[in-house]
Amino acid sequence: MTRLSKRIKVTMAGISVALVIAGCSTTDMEVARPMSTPHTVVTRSRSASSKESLYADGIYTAIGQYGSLPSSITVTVTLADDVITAVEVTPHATNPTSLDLQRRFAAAIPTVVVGKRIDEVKVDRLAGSSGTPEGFKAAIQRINEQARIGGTASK
Amino acid sequence: MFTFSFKAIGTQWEIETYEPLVRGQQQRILRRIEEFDTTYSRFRPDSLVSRVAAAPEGGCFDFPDDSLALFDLYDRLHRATAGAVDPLVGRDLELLGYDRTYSLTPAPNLVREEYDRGRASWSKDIIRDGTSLVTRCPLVIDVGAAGKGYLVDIVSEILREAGFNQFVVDGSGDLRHSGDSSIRVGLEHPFDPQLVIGVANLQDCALCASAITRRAWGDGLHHVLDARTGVPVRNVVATWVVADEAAIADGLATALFFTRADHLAEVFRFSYVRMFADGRAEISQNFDGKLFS
Repeated sequence: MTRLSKRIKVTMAGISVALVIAGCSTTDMEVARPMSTPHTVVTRSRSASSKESLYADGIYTAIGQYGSLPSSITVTVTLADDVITAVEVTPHATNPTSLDLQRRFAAAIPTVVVGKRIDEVKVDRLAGSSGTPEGFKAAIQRINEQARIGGTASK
Repeated sequence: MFTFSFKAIGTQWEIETYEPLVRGQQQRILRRIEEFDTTYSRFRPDSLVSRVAAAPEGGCFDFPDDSLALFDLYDRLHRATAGAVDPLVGRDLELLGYDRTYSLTPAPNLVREEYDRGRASWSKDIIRDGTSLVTRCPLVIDVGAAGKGYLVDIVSEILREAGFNQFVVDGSGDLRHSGDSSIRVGLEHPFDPQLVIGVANLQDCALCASAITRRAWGDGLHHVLDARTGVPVRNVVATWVVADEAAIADGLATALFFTRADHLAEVFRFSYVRMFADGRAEISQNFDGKLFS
């Protein structure tokens, strides 16, 4: 049964859901087997599956819960020859606040950022790593100097 | 526009106002910051938190009234991050070398391993009744996650009481704005201070930034630690949070190194940008500003 406990990780919109294909127990996840879902297309039954294929083809649906309320999303994965061919994530929050949060944060998909030179961008203030405590900067400088002296001495 | 610049709690401050601050108002602000530092600085041997850290058998310590809001916020942050944000991370920071003398030299492995077996936690090792803390052993409180933001709020309140309603309080990256017209704040590139990765429009709220790249002192050593393990975080390199209050923005800027934004958003109202070690960044849809991509 070890190979059946293999998990397929689906990450979307910053929400990770571990979809467990086999019927091994999980604490926070309901897993619907293909046979029991109404919108399932199963092209091959488990018993008939060949040795090469670990999982039966089909559409698998899981509900992932997150947060303290908790809120949930439905993840639908289409599987063919052990390969995920489609993933669909549907947020379905029960209260308006959660729904709003899901929509707002659903857009936070990371993209590569390109820095622009400060003098090219008109800003009134800056916020970031320059706010380093003086004592810390002084200590780093001290260590650098010691390292330089040490480096010279050892040569 | 008038600017009152000064150094306090080891960092550069700027307060911008439309009318100049008179000397008495400046003195009041400096005294209030000094008072805060005397309570919460773990870098001062005479502070209240240093007394807590030095008490061999622990004890009961009465903190000033301003601690109520700060400790309440830490309770919420501690819960929302499942313990990753914890004021008692102070001991781990010391053991990694971020100590009172800025030794920047990690303690021997044996010492760190021993502490690993009995790591103190805010929820288990401190009994709090309002502004009183009861401890049973020496504990190092570090309010670095939200303390400076909270101090920015306190200074803003002093300005408001003095009749100012258009101002910017800038405590080196922890900003609070008040007034009719927004300001543009550049989000400094964590790997290159000559660059910005985006801008934020700020009006009548606070923006706080946190980054692991500058306050770093060795291989993987910096000041943002997961309090559950004492290990510096790696995946997230910088965060920016906008919230109504600077204390909340500051605390969440730290929390976002450990905890997903949607999770924190169930407890706090905020918008954010966060940048990862691989050069990608994410921006929440409600963030008033943009990233350069």
